[in-house]
Amino acid sequence: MEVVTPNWGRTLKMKIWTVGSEKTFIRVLEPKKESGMGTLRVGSEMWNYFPRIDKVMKIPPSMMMSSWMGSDFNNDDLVKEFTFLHDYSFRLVQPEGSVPGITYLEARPKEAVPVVWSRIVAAVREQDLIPVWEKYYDDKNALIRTIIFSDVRKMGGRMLPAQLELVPAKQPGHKTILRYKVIDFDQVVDQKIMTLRNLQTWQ
Amino acid sequence: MLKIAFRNVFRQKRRSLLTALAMLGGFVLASFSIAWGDGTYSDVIRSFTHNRMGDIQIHAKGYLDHPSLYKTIRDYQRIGAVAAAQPHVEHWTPRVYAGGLASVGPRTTATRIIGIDLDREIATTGFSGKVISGTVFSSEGIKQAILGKDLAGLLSAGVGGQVAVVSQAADGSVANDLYTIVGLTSTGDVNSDRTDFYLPLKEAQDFLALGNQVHEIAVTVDSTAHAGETASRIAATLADPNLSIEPWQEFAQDFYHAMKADLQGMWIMLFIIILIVAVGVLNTVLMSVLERQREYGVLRALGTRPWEIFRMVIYEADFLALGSVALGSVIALVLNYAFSIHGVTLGEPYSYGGVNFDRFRTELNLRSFLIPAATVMVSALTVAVFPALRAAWTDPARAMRIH
Repeated sequence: MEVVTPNWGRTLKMKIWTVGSEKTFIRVLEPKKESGMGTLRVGSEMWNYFPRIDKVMKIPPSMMMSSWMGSDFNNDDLVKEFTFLHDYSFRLVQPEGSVPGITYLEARPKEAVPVVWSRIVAAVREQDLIPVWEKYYDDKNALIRTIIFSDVRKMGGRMLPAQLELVPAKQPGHKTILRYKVIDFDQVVDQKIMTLRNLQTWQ
Repeated sequence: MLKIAFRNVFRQKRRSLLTALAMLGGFVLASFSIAWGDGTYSDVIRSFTHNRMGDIQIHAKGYLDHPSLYKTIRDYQRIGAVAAAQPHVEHWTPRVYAGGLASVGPRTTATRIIGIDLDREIATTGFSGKVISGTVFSSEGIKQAILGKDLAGLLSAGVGGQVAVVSQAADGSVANDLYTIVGLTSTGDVNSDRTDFYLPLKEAQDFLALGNQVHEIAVTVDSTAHAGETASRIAATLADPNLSIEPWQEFAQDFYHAMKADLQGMWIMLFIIILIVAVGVLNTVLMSVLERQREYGVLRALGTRPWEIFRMVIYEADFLALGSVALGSVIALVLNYAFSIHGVTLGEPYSYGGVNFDRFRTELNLRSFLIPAATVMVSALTVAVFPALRAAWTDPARAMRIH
C-alpha cells in the first residue's frame, strides 16, 4: 500500500487473510518501524496491535471514521465491507459521459440503515465484469472519493484488477494505492488466525 | 454674579441638599459600577489569559483556522527570544499539539497530546498549580506523562499507572509508545480535563517525528491592556509572512465579544443615572425659579440683563453639581479602594468561558471618576437650561405683581 500526501509518502508491505466478508486479518511486514503491526476485524469490531508497546487497542466507535494506518481508507471501510451487499439496493443507470462497453451500477442505502455513503456509482466492463471505477457520494450528493481499478491480470486463477487507487475528492495531493502482488483464493484459513491471541503474536 | 449665585445655593438649604444628594448618589453609584465592571473584566481576562491561553499567541499562518500537525513554527527558540525582548513581555512558552488515542487495559479514548516545556510552562501559566495529584515531570529516565484528571478517570488509571498512546507522526508513520502517569491535572475546564495528555516537549517532538518544530508559542504580558501593541511589535520585529501573531482579543474572539457585550451594560446604567440626576435637578431648579419670579422681576427692573440672570441660575446648578461631585469623589474613592483590595468572595465559584472565578474586585482607575463626573455635570447643566431661560425672560412688571 502506497500512501501519498503533500507532507510525506510511505509504502507498506502487508499480508492479509479474509474469511468470507466477515473476518479480516492484516499484518504489516514492512517498513521495519511498523513491522509487526496488525489489524483484526471480526464482524463490526476492530482491534489494532502495536508490537513496540505490545498493546492491543480496540477501536472505539468514535474513531471509526479516522484513517487506517495513515491511508485514505478509514477504519469503517474495513468494517463495512461485509454489510455492503445487505445494506444497499442496486440498479443500472446511464450517467452523463457514459462510455460504450461499460455498465454503470448505482447503489443506494436501504431504509434505516446507518451508512456513510448516500450513493455509490460503479463502472464495470461489460465483457468481463471487471470494475473500472467507483465513485462515493455523501448525503449532500457531493463526490467524496473515487477508486480507480487498473492493471487487470490473472491472479489466483481469476482475472482481477491488481491495482486500486483511492483518490479523495476534497484533499488535493492525497491518494492511496493498493497493489496486490499475490492472491490465493479458496484457501482454508486456520480459524486461529482470526483471534486476538494471534494478533498479539509476533516475533 | 458668581458670588450671588453661590450664596443663593444656601438660601434654600433643604432643597439644595436633597438635589445634591441625588447627584451625589448618582455619582457614587456610577463610579462604583464602572470600577466594578473594569475590575472584574480585568480579573476575568487575566485568569483566562494566564491560565493557559497567554495574552498573545504565535502560530504558523492558518493554524488557528485549520489546525494541522504540519502547520508548524520552525525555529521557536529564536522567535521566543524576540518576543521576550519586547517591552511589557513577561514570559513565553512553546507547545506541540496532536490528536491521539490513549489506552489503559481494555479502555481506549480520544486524547489531545500537548508537548510542554515544563519550566517555561510553569513560569507562564502556573502549570504546577494545576497538578492536583502526583508531580510534574522529573529528570528521571522513564517516559512520563501527565493526564487531565477526567481522562485518567475515563481510563480508570491513576498516578503510577501505565498508559499507551497512539497517534500519527509527521512522517506518516504510526506513533505509539507507553508512558508512566506521574501526575494528574485539574484546570477547571471539563473538556480539557477529559482530553489533556501532557508530555515533555522533546518527548512529544520525538514521538510525533517533529524534529524541533512546535505549533504554538504563548506569550504573557504585564497588563492585558498591552497585549495588542506588544503583538504588533513582535510581528513587526519578526516580519515573517508565514507567522501569525495575535493578541487574545483575536484568538479568543468569542470570549472577547462576550465581555464587550457585558460592558455595554455600563452605558445603559449611566443613562439611567442621567435620568435620575436630571429629574432631581430639574425639579429643584424649576421650583426655585418659579418661586423666585418676583425676585427676577425686581432684578430685571433694576436693569439686570436677561443673559446675567440666565448665568446666575446656571451657576447655582453648577455649584450644586460641583459640590456633589467633589464629595462623591471622596466617598467613591474610599469605596472603590476598599473593594479593590478585598473584593467580594463568592461562596461557590462562578464558571465563565471554562475558567472558575471565586473573587471579584473593583479596579481603581481614572475613568471611574471622570465618566461619572462628566455625566453628572453635563446632565445637571443641560436640565438647568430650561428653567434658566424661563427666569431670564421674566417680564418685570408682571413678575413684581406676583405674591
